[in-house]
Amino acid sequence: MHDATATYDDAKLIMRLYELRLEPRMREARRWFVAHCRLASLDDFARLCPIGSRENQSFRMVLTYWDMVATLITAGVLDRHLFFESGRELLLVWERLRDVMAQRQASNDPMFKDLEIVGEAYASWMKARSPEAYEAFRARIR
Amino acid sequence: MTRRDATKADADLLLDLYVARREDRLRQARDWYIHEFHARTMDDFERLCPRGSEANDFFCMVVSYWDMAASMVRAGLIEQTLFFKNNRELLFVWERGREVMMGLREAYRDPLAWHNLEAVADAYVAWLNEEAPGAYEEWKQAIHAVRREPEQRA
Repeated sequence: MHDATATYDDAKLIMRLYELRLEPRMREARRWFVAHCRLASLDDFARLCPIGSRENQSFRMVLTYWDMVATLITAGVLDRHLFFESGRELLLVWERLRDVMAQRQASNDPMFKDLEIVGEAYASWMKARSPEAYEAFRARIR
Repeated sequence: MTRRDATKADADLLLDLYVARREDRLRQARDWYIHEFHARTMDDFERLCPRGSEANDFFCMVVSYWDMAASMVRAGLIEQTLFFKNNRELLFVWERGREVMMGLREAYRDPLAWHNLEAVADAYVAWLNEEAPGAYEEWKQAIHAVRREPEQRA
């Protein structure tokens, strides 16, 4: 029993978010992201996801979906601890994009800021519980 | 549009809007608008989207979807910061189609056409300027470059 603050409504929202991930095109986009989307630079991005390509569409779908989830957490609408128990894919997405986002953020545009905030909070939460598990996860997915 | 804390009802509505725009035809229309809709004048519009064409359907679908979403924001039914963080596409649609929508308003003699979209786009710009001064101008320059490469065209 780790979290007494989550409510039935949090569980319902997590289930709703889960259902959205099952839609076939979204599944395809997520599968592509996990299998192929490893970016070290913005040049990699331009090569892997040219404007108008299916890969670019998949990338945007995955990124905006997880950023939307993150906005629900930063807005306090979704309990972060309950989410962290089952939403590891958000951390995968953030770990994969952290370096590229850092290169992009010469701009102060707040776009995808929530994904960064929640991704970093997730990493801290996992490290606090098991630093080895976090490092092993990070090494495996990068 | 007043500011308040977001609630689970806001999250529900946000997700309902998200689900609605995933429908296959609307997805196709949104993709077309983002990559193919480059019209600044009514002549451009008539060439690109003649009445009865698929392109005209796509234009109508996209602008009416975002105007509907905007009407909910203006009515205070969805908290605006949560909406803005998740729907930059609304601002994109307004910026890309502003001249054409203004031209159609005049042609239709209907000043109310897309007025929700315009009002929410204006509020979006104000929010962005407050959150991140300079980011709007930078972004506005960047979106004009969003154009499908010839080899990506179907």
